[in-house]
Amino acid sequence: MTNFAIRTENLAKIYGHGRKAIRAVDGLALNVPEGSIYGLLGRNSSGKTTTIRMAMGLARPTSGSIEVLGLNPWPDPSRVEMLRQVAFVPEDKANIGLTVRKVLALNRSFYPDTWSDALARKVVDRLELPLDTSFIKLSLGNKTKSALASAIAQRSRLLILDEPTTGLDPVALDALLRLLVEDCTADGRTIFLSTHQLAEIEQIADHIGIMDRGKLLIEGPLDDIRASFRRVTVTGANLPARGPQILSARRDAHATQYILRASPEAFTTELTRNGATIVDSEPLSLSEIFLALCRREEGTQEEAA
Amino acid sequence: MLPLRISASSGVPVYLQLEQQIKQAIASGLLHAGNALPSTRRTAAELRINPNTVARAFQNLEREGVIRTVPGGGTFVASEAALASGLLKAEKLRRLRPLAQQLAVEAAQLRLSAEDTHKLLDAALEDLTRKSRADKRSPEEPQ
Amino acid sequence: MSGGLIVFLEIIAPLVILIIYGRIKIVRARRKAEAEETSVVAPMLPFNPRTEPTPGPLLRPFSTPQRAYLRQQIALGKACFYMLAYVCIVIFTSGLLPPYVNRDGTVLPFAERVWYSYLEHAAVAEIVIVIFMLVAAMIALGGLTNGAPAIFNRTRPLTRSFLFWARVVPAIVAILASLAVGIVASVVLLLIFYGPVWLHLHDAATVGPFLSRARYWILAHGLLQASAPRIFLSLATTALLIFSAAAVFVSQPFWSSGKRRMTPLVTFLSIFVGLSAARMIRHADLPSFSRWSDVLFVYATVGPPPPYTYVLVPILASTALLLIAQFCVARKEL
Repeated sequence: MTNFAIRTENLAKIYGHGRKAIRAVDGLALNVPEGSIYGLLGRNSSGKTTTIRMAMGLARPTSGSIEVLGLNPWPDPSRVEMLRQVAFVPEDKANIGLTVRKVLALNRSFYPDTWSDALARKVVDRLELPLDTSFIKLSLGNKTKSALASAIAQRSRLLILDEPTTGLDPVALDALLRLLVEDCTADGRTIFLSTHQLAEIEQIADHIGIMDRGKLLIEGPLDDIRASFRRVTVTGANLPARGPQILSARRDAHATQYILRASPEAFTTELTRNGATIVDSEPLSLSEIFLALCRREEGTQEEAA
Repeated sequence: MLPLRISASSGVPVYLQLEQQIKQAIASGLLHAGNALPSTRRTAAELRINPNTVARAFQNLEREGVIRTVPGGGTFVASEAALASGLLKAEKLRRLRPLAQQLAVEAAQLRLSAEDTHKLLDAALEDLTRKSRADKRSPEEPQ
Repeated sequence: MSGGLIVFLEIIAPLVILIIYGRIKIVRARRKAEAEETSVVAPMLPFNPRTEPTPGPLLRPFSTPQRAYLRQQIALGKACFYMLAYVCIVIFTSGLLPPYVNRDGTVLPFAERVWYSYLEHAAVAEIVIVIFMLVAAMIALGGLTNGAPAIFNRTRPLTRSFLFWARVVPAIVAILASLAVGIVASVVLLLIFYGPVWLHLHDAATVGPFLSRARYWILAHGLLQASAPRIFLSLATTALLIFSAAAVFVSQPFWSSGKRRMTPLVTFLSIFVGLSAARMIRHADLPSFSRWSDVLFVYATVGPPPPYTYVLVPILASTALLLIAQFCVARKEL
């Protein structure tokens, strides 16, 4: 029985009423297994940050449920019990203190059971954080690094990162990935990342979820998802235009190009059996999967409208 | 340091890339029997990939007898004897058969003759033997 | 020199001094940096935080995270106390300044003049207090309702009620303490410069016949009936009441993001409402307001004081308002 670090069931967050209602999160069923590195991908205003705010007890679900480490994040006292075990890097990396050193010292006192000074020093060193510059003078990248240092040094059971790459140059980004893998995954700890930096996710995540317009389009182990998607170019007669496995089909004079979303081998075998020829078959990168799914969603929305 | 290059977006699952490259390193002589491999965590950190992925690759390799873990201390490349006879020949053939079939399909699609396909395979085998012989003759460069 | 100008300057003075001092420091630091340009940059000390000092009796019953938060709020409270205490001293002692004391000439005897001016200024302090209480409430609760500091505070392992009261109680203590300091300082100055004038107030019967009707009325119906303790008590309870009302006001949803463009408008409106309330208090001796001002223990003019029993009304009302504010802040979504 897997434990889940974050689990939502039919979660919804609706702002406003009637026709002007905005469904920021709409029937979300998120499942983040403990011990995984989970990447939540989505465009801006897809509902990622709203979901995270509900997970951190900052916003209350309109309907449905959400559980973080098995606890309800909105009401005290389960909220406090949950917060004791969760480290958070918010989307807004603005000023919260005088200097990075003071912010680290302050955060340290909130988590006396798990904080590690040695890890704090390591993160400061690897990310090249200036400890004594006043916060007003810090660049955006340094503010992000400060928030990351505070959170990582907490050594929490669950690390929630909302856009943790804001303002980070490639060197810092690489250092961050290494730190996350090295120091934030031992002992069954979980990392939950929300971002639209697909390349980084593809590298370190083992589970992903793709969100669009408040809904989860797909979720699961990254390897499985990558194995399910394939771009296949086929020539032949009477090629199907639709099907449960077909995400999209583009026909031109010479061939039809399919983007398949499930069991690509079965599909191609079926087609060859019916006399078609597979000209080309290649896997899709995470970025292409993401675009294909979001475009499909857009297309369905336009049809429905 | 292991000479590994992982591409997360190439479409080949990362654990598979890892397995293939370790096997290749052993086959070409870069890794010898009994060499120690860095820990799962260390490998993951160096490559900036998920430790579970590395663990999975290592588990698969161990199941195939390519590497072995000592309880309480480290992972090592299997002994020469183990590598040679770790798997029965039938099992080895069974495992290579899909690869052979894939090569055949691709060659057919590209309209390559059987003779050219054989030549391709022979060249690849020769390449490997040449490399490992060269390594055995001259002292290895420090990593 | 007009009394108002003196008071204004007194309040502005420390601000000006601080600005000048700050400027001097910056210039000096820049000159020092230029001089040392060629020298090696001092290496950054590694992160080695001090261990927490053993908590005193006040902080001991709390857990480590709670103490960390409380220390922050107490430091904020201390800073506010210094500022407010200074403002209170200035306001309460302004009644002792010669321009104010001698405002009506010498129509009232000496002791009465001083005492009257002193009490009147103390009572009028309500107006300034309203503005400061509004600001105090915004400072105290802003860190829980708006922006990145609020998100930080609300995601630390502390209950919502602790987050709220750990901010409100130090604020209230700072307010009451600064009032106390202002009162004590002004009484001391009064004693130093004028002596215990309230012991030498003339009987209305003795002095009355020599005064004009207006002056007689001020003396008999105002000054001799005025109760200094109740004026000060009223200041404390009114401050508390306004602070609590402001707390409820600040905890309402219209301050948060989404309506960010409205914030300047709402700020302006709230100051306007606050000043209007202050003016209503100022004219509390008018028949239409006098009943309400008595019930709320608002004592803003030199005259018959409200009965002591009414002191409970603003205290209970403040408590109720603070509980409402706590409820609103707890429900607030960031």
